[in-house]
Order: sequence, then C-alpha cells, then structure tokens
Amino acid sequence: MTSTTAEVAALSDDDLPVPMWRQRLKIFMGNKLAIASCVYVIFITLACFLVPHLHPTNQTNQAIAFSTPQSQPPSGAHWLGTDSSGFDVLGRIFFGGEYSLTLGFLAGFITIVVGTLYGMISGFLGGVVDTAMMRLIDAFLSIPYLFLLISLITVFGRSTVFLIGIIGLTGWWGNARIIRGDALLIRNLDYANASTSMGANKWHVIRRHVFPNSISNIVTVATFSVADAILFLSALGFLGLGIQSPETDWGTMLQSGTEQIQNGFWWEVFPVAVVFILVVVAINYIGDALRDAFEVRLIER
Amino acid sequence: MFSYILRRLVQSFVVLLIVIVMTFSLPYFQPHGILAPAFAVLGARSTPLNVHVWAVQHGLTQSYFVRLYKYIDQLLLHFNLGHSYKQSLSVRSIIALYVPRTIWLALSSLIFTVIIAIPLGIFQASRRNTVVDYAATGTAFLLYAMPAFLLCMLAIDAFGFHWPRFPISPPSGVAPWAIFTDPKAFILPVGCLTLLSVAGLSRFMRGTVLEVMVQDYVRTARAKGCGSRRVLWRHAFRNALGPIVTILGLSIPALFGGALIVEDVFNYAGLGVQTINAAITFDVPTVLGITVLVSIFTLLGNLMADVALGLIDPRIRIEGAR
Amino acid sequence: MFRKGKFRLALTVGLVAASASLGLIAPTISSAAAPSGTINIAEPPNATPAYILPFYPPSECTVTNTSSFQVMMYRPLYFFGLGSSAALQPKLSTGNLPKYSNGNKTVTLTMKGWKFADGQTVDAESVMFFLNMYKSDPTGFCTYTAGLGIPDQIASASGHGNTVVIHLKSSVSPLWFTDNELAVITPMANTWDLTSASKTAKCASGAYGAASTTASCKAVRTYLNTTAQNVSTFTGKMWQSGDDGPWKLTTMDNLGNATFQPNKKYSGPQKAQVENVKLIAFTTAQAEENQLQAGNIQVGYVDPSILTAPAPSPGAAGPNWGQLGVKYNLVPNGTFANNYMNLNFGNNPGGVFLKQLYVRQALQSSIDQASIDKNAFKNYAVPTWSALPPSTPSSETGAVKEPYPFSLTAAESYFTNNGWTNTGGHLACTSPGTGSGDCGAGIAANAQLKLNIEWVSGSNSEDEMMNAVVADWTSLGISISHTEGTFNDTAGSCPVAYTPTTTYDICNWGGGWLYAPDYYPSGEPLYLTGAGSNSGLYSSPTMDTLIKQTLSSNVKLTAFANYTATNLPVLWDPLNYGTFEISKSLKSSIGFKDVLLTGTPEYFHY
Repeated sequence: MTSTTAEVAALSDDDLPVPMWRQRLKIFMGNKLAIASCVYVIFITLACFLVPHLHPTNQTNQAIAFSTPQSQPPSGAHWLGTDSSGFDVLGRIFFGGEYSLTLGFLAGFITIVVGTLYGMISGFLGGVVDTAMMRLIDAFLSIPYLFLLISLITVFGRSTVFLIGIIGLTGWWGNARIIRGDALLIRNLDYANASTSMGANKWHVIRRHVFPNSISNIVTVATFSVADAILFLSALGFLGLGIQSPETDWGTMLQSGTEQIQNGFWWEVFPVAVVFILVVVAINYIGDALRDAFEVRLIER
Repeated sequence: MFSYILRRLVQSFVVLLIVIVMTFSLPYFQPHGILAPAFAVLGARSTPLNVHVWAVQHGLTQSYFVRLYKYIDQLLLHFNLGHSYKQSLSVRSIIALYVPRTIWLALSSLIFTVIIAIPLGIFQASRRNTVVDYAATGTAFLLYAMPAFLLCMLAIDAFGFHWPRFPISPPSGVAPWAIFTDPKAFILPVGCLTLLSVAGLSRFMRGTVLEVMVQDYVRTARAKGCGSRRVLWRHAFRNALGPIVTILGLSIPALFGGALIVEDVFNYAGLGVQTINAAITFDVPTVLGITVLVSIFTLLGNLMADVALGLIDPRIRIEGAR
Repeated sequence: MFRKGKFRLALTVGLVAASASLGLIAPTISSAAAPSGTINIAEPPNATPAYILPFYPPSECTVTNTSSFQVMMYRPLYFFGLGSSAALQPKLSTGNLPKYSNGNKTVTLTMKGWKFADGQTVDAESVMFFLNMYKSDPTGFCTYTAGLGIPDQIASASGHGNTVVIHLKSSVSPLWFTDNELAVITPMANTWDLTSASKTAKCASGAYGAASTTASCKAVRTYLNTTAQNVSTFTGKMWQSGDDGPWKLTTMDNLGNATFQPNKKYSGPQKAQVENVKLIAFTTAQAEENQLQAGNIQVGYVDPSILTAPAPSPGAAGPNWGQLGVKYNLVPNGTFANNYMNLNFGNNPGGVFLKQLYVRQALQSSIDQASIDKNAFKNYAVPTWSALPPSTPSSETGAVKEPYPFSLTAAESYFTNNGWTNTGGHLACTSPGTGSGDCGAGIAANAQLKLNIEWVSGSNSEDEMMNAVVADWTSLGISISHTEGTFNDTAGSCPVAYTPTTTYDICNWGGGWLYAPDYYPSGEPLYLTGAGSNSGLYSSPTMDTLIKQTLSSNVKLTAFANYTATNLPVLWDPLNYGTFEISKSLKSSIGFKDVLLTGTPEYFHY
C-alpha cells in the first residue's frame, strides 16, 4: 500500500511529478522490445498512410484490374504479386492497413473515452446510480461480443463510419469496469474524502484526483483496446462483414487470401498475415511495457 | 450468505430483463423494421400480399408492447422462445439440438485450457524474465494476435492436406457424444480453440500470480524463509484462484464467441454457426433465443463464481452488497 | 477418416454385387442390376430441406425444399427438366400430356395410373386433392398470382377415375398453362387427407369449389403445414405412404442430413441404381470444399472464384481445382434462369433518371459482360440480354438480338445526345426539358447524375463484377454511392420498391429468377404492371400487352423477349454458372448437368 500512496502523492502534488515520469520513461525506454514495437507500429502506420499516396497502385478500379493478370507470383512489376482480383498485393497491404489502423485507432479511442467517462461517473457517484450503471454493463457483458457485432451490423449496415461507431460504442464495457474499480478505490482514499469534506465540487475531485490517478490504467487499457478493435475487425472481415469492397482491410484480405491457400498462392496470405500479426503483437507488447512501467511495486523488486 | 445469494439472484434477473428488452427491440431498428425477415424469407416472391400474410402469421402486426409482453410471458412462464423464421423448428428445439454440441466443443477446450494455462502462467511467473518466460510470452502474444480463422485455416491446410494426420471436420451427426465415436476428428477444432484461449488465460495467470507475489504477506512468508516453491503454491496460487474463478465465469460469452469462428471453419454445426446464419438471414427469434440463453448461462456462471468467492472470502460479500 | 473408410467398404461391396448379378441377368438391362453403393451429395451451404409437403407456401418455395428433396419422393403431374434439358419430360410425369379443347378453355388430364408406396393409385382424386387445397387457400401456395391461372381462372374442375376435366373462364395459351400452372401440381395421396393423426377429412374427395370442401381443406392444410415442418415425422408412415417417386426417405436429422433408399413401388421408367443417396448438410462452402478434397463427396460444387485458371470459353469446363482433378470432373452448369439488377422506378432520388430510356441504355451498354465473364467468373458465366434464360427451348421462342453490346463511347453518346455535359468527371444536365435531345421530365437544370447502388456481397466474383460495373459507370461521369448487403443467400436485401424505406436506385441480389416451378419464362410475375414480384414498380403498356398475349394465345415468346431486351425493365448481367464436382467413378446416362436442379440421382450409378 505504501508505494501506491507514494504514487498517488507524486501525481496529485504539482511540485513533484517530473522524477516519477522520468523514472517510468526510463523503465519503458530500457525495454528494448517495447522500443522496437513502437518503432514498428509507427513505421507501419506511416507507411500505410503515405505509401498509397506517394506510390499509388490501382486498388479500387476493378475494370482496370481485370486487365492485370490475377493471382500472379511476385515479380519485378508486382513485388508481392497480385491477388485474385488483380490488385497489387504490396500496395494493397498498405491500402488495407490504412482502413484497419484508422478503424482500430478511432474505435479504440472512442472505446476508451466512453469507457473512462462511464466508469468514472459510475464509480465516483456510487450508490444506486453505480448499481444501475453496473447492471447495465453486466447485461452488455453477458452477450457474446461477436454475436452482438454481427447483429448490429446486419441491422445498421457496414459503411466505414458505422463500423467505427459500432466497434467503438460496444467495446468499452470491460474498460468501464476497470476504470470504475479505480475510481471506487481512489474515491475511498482519505485525501479524496478530505477534499469533498472540505467542500470541493465532485467534478473537481474527478478532474483533479480520480482522473490523474487512473491515467496509468487508462493508457494501458487504451493500448489493448486498439489491438482488440483491429482483431475484431479482422474477425468481421472473415465473416464477410468487414470494410466494403473495393476498399479492404487486413481481415478481409486475410479471408480472401486463405481461400486461395490451397492453390499455393502464399503471397496472398503470408505477407499480410505477418504484417497484421506483428502490429497486434507490437501494440499488445507496448501495452504490457506501459503497465510494467506504471507498476511501481514490480519496479522495486 | 443466503441474503447475499438472494440479492445477487434478483440482480441477475434484472440484468436478464435488460438483455431481453434490448435484444427484442434491436430488430425494430432495421432499415425495413421487423418486416425485414419477411423479405429475407420470401426472397423474390416478396409480393405485398405474401409479406402481409407472413407478417400476420408471425404476429408481427401487433404493437411493440403487446409483442414484448407476450415474448417475456412465454419465455418466463413456459420457456417458449417462439418459432424460427428460417428453419421449421421451434427455437427451443434448435437450442436443444445445438447447445450440447457447442458445450462439448467449448467445455472440452475449456478443460484443456485450464490444464495448460494455469500451470504455464504460474511457471512463467516463477521464472520471470528467463528465456522460458520470454519464449512462452512470445508464443502467447503471437497466438493472441492471430485471428482465430487464420489459425484454423492454417491448421486445416497443414494437418488436413500437407501432412494429412487428422480429419478436417467432426462428424455431422446430431448426437453430442459423436466425440466418442470419432475422437480424432475433434483434435483440430478443440486444439485450435484451446490454443486461442490458452494465450489469454496464461497471460492473465502470469500477471495475477506476479501481482500476488508482491503482496505483503507473500513477502513476509518469503522473509520468514519459506521455500519459493512452497510460497508459490501455498500462497500465490491459492490467492490467485479468486481472480481465475471470476475470469472463468466472465469468459462464458467469449467462449461461445470463439466457438463461433471455429465451428464455422470446421463445419461443426453448433450454436455459433446457427447464430451467424440466423443473423444474416434475419431469423430474429433464433438470434433472440440464443442470445437470451447465453446471457442466462453467463449470469449463472457469474453468480456461481461470486458465490464461490463469497464462500472463500467473507470480505467479498460486504463488497458485493453495494 | 471414418467416412472415407466406410465409403470404400460400401463401394467394394457394390462392385462385387454388380459383377455377380451381371453374370446372371442379360447385360442389356443395366437397371436390373441390384442397386448398390452410396452417393453422397452436398447440399448448398446453409440451405437444408425443411418442408416436405408439395403444397408449399412462398416462404418454403426453394430449390432445396422442392426440386432437390420433395421431388425425390413426390413426382409432379408434369416433370420438367432432365440433365441439360429444361423441357417437359412426358416419361417422368405422373400424368399424360394435357389435352386442350373448346378454344383452349377446357383442359383434360389423364393419369398414367402410377402407384403410391402404399399400393394406391395416383389418380384423378390425387390431383383434385391438390386443386381443392389450392382453391381453399390460394395465398398458401408459392406461385399464386391473383387473377391468373390456377385457381382464379378455373370455372370448374372435376375428377373421375383417371381423368380430370378443368373448365377455364377464358382461353389460355396451352404452352403457358401447362408449363406455369399445371406444372406446379403434385398429385397427393389421400392418406394425407387428415385433420389430425387419426382424423380423416374430405379435401381430396370433395367437390371443387364447394364450401364444405373449402372448410375441410383449410383444416387439412393447417394440420399438414405443421406436420410438414416437423422433421421427425418425415420418415414416418404418413409421409412415406404418399411416395410415388423413385426414392424413399429413410433417415433425416434436424441438421439437414438425409438418406434416401430405392422405392421399390416406383412406377416410372428409371429405377434407382444405388442403395443409398445421402444429402449432406454444410454450414459453409469452404467446409464443403474441404470434404471434396478429402474425397468424401461424390456430387459437390466449388466456387469458381477459387479455380486457378479460367475455362477456355464461356460455359465450357476448364482445369479443375488443386488436387480435385484426380478424383473429380468439373461440370459447369447453367441453370434455367436469368440474372439481372433491379431498377427502382419509385420515388427514390435516382428514379427520375432511371425512368429515361436513354439512361438505362447507357447503363446497359457500359456493362462489359465479356470481361466480367472472363475475369470475375473465370468464364463460368454467359452474357444475357433479355428475360429469357439462355437455355430456353427453341420451341418457345425465336432469336433475340443483343441490342446494347458493350461500348463506352455509345454509352457516352446517349448522354451527350440527351442534354448532358461531362464537366470535371461529373455529368450535369445542361439542357433540361422534355423535348427531343433534352434531359427529360423531372430532371432540373444542372442536376447531377447520382445513383445509389446496393448489392449482396455473396462472393468475390459478385463483388468484382459490381466493382467493375461501378468503375465503368463512374468513368462516364455518373456519381455512384454503394452499399453492400450483409447477407448472401437470399433476395431479401433488395426488398421490393413498394416499401417506403427502400432507397436504392439499382440493386443486385447476386441472383436472378430461376424459372421453377413455373417453367415458362413469360414474365407475368415480374414485368406486368403491379405484378407481385415486379420489385422495381416497372410499368409499360406495351410490355403489359405483350405479356398478356403470351398468356392467352398461342404465340411464341419472341416479341416479349425482344421488348425486355430493348426497353430494359431491369439491367441484364451475366448468368453465372454453377460448377459441380462429380466423382470420376460416378456414371450417368443423362450426364451431370442439371439446368433445373431437379435432383434425379436415380440416373447415377457406379
């Protein structure tokens, strides 16, 4: 408990935050794999957003793609070959990545914002409101997530905006629980009680005390949310409910690639699979490293 | 203890009602409202007359509240979930048909998961930051990041065709005990589902044990000179059991969700495949029925987990009373 | 492994039995050999038979329920389609060809006297049973069209012994009435004339149109309709006693797996030649393909999009997929159907544009069917340009010329000749008005040509086709927005335009219209003003006149077909072929094509 209080004190006191942050940064920077993960994610993100514009390949005009040889192995013209529709695979990895990553980051962001707000309000208000809000979460959590996604998509369609909205607005339940646990814990801490008893506004308490202390959890959870959003989008892609053609995402690419796997067209599956899996691994690893950095008690050992 | 269980039961019932109302209302938001299934079933023969006849037959012309009342009434008093729009079966018999099959798949993989993941997590925690830990963590990361369908497809391609070792599809007979007639056919699907869940659970186990190991009492035990194996099993494991029980209770929906993909790839006619097929053909009663059923399973699972925890640790009861 | 082993055993036993019997019986009568062996037939993914009564409502009116399942047991009055022919098969029908008299106002049907499995005769009463039921509940049957055909055009009907006489209110085209109206009739056994498991009724024997018959039939239909959906009753005595087909159902489970064995009482020409025919249910096409690879299926299918090389020419067979070539022959099969995209002529935003013939002509002539066939469907498709299926028998129609072959320049000139200007890649109306060379009624000055397109994303092929079409339309300057439907096996995502919530301008459900069980491609349910399945609210007096002519007098379909080609009530797109995978050990005297999907495995043997 002592270390937690130290952490809390360090954050709530405006004079002392720098050494703590520096220490955490140092721990994080000391983790070579985490740095490598960061570099990889940044590299792929930049590539996905820049390459399709700097070196455009035809990825949307099917009429033109019809005159491109389909399912061709890698060659000088197409470094990773062409897929079964006649699109350049290397270009398509970046093109699809743009959608996967945009969707993952945006949906992850919505998830964490909504989840944090919900969890904070629930945990901080407590009492009947908390109970009601948590029962609602229970109800959401008792429905298999994939079932829910499929039902929502059949009802609301699957334009890119809807997909972001659906994944973003349904992925926050677990997050809300975690943040609410934090808020609950911190609310009951002495200093929070003290500031309420001293007449501080509740919102002030949330802003000044609850939120900063939950930040470590929020950042970690946010990282995992992004990875999960990307993964769920790929599952939807497999079920044929991903981004609409001729646009694509990594999940949809993997799905159409695996259909060709028994034909031996490895270039339609494995490059995108490697890029995709490494992105998810890297994001998860960054999350883990962040958690380690925030977890003071482990540092001390 | 009794009043605690009672209170949790009431809470679960309220949650169930919320789930029913939510899922029941969802179809009203379809672009074509609750008539969408009529178009899906009738296809090109969706003449106004046919659609109307169909809607009347299925009670869709009644008002929202009448339908909701009837649904809840039938569900709670008669456990009648209505009749599928697409298949000529009652939803109850669809559930009776497919639930055992999915439970076989999910349960056997759950057992394997627990058998593998818990010792693995503890082992990793005790060998933190060794090569073994890194290797296991790395594998877990890879598996966690691997889309379920990709793993299944690669497994089929590898062990079904390149090195044909195992059958690629479980028997299609109705009986759930088909697993005994052809255990080999279950190796790939159960194996894939297990691998997918081992990744998450072993990571969770490792984290939990690490967490427990830095608690003061474990440190005290260590300081008192307890052997590290004894500390690990007597203290760390027993105290990590609580979170594990909770997470297993919570993982029921995830298990059904994961089974969905595995069932789909391996052509295993279970609840997951039924759900997706029902959803894409607007077979509303089936989707509703299965969702409600899985919710009930989950709520029961959570309830049992909580009761078990309450038995273990009286403090929880007070916490849960909130 | 389990299945494979079992199958091998069955095959070996079969071969021994066959060779033994050949020695004893004259070799010319091959059908006299004792039936042996098992044929496993793959059902389409997520489509399993679930309705056994041949008087089926619109919601059960699927090939899976009817042609591939019921027809194995219950033979229709007139049997259509065999192998690559879509024509009427007199030998396989339970009735002799109908005789039309009295200026085509009287139809006389005589039955051949086939036997049901319980020994009773398939006679006039069996036909009257169906007609009485249809009369009592017209909307309860799949193909009912108000005012047309059975039962609305029937003045009276009566049956005695083997003869049914039907008097009609007005004269009809015999071709149409036989193919579309009489063909839907399946004679039903009077052992089904029940209102409960033990209570018999008077629906089969009652007088046609009498109030007592109607009341009786309604009760019978209610009982049978419920029982027909209860899979556990399918192999029971009631359903199997009414079996007059070559097969009897011996096992059936709720997953859709069924086993058929020869019906020894079958009176028709071709008796079953194998011991078991099994229909195997599949959840996905990929699962079915995996079983093909393992060699567990004798009659299956692949999606052309996974084939590695295109067929040499449209409709021909190309190289088989992967390892399958060793065990299977690839058989392309074009069904008796035609494909089209729905046009919405309702109050949708794009409706004003689509009402102009020149816009439809431009859209049609910019669909590159040849390129789509070759690339998206790997040549397992043929171009279409009228309401007639490519395999329409020449007895029913003359030639129909393709009026709008692919030409982007032609498409462009349709717009430039009618008051549109392409500025910056977008077409805008610069000459509004209704005169010649103007944009036409309802199109304002500077209006942009915007269309909202929906399609069902069933397969990669479908997506590729639609994306190619959209790319060409966009290149003309049309602004296209599109939505892809979320489900792939029904037409429901292009719900008909009369629903106020329908917003699409053009919709493609990835299929077309299979002319079964109404086999005459006369278009009255589709293109007649106000017809039930006229999804796009198309209305043309000329079309109405042409269709009514084909129904009431003895004219060929040529004029009607040509008008559908030139006036474009819908946009025509390629008819994609199914690609069957047939085990190389399987033989058949009628080949393995199956244009009407009338599963006739009695012709298959090893």
